Amino acid sequence: MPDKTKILVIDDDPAICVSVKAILEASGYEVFTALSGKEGLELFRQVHPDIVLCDMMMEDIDAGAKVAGVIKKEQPELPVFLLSTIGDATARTIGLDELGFNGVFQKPVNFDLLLGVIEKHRKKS
Amino acid sequence: MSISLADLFRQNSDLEVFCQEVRKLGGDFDLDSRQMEALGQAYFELHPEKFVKRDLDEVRLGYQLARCCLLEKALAGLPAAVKDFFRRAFDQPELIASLLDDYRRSGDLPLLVSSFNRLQASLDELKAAIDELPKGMIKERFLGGISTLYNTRYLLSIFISRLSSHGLQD
Repeated sequence: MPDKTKILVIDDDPAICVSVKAILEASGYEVFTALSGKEGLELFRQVHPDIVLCDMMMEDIDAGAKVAGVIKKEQPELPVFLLSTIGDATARTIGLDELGFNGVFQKPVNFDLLLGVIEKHRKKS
Repeated sequence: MSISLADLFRQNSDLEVFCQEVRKLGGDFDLDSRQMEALGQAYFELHPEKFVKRDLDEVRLGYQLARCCLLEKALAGLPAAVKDFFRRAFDQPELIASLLDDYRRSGDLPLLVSSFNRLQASLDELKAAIDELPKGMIKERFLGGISTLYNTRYLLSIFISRLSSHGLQD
C-alpha cells in the first residue's frame, strides 16, 4: 500500500488547524499541523510534507511569506499554498509567486477546489 | 431588542463568561456588519493589534469571540435538541463522525437534516454581512471566525449526506 500524501497545515488559529486536518484526513491524507511559522518550519524539516498549506498573518504580519521563502530555498519544487483572508484584489498585487507561494485559497476555503488542487499535485509527484 | 454584543463584551471581557452570556440570549441579538464593527472595536480596545511579534493568544481570543457570536446567531430558532448537537460538532469537528453516530441512535435524523439546511443558510447570511465590513483587522477576525464554521459545515455536510443515504433507510 503506497504511503499517504503528507500535508502540512500552518495556521495560528487552532480551530482552523483542527477543522482543516479533519477534512483532509477524511479525504485520505496524512496531516500535520503547526500553530506558528517557526513551528511550521520545524515540522517541515521533520516530516518532509508533499504539500504545505500556510496562513499569512501569524506571529508576524508576514510570517507566512517568510515560511514560504525558506521552504522554497530548501525545497524549491514543494507546492506551498497560501490560506488567507487577504482578498482576491490584494492577492493579485502582492506577487505571490515571488513570495514563494504556488497559489492562494481565500478563507473561508472552498474545499472542493482545494481538494482538487491537492489531488492534481499528488498525481504529479 | 436585547443589549448589544459590544456592550455585553465591555461588561464581560472574560471570553468564557462572555460566550455564556451570548448563549443565554438564544440568538436574540443583532449581528449585522455595524454590530460586528462595534464588537470588534470593543475587542481591540482591550487587545490592540500589533504587526510584529503578535501575541497569538490575544489574536486567538478574537477568532473565538467572533466564532461564538456567529455560531449562536446561526443557531437562532433551531430546536434545542439539535442546537446542542451542533454546538458540540462545531466545538470538536474531529469527533463529528462519532457525534453523529450517537445522535442517530437517539435523535431525529430528518430534524437534524432540515436544521442543518437552515444553519447553512444562516451562515451564508452572516458571511454576507462580514463581506460588507471595511478591510481591516475587525474583518480579519470575523473572516477567521467564520472560516472555522464553514470548514466544520463542509465536514458536517459530508457526514450528514452519507448518513442520509444510508441511515434514513435503517
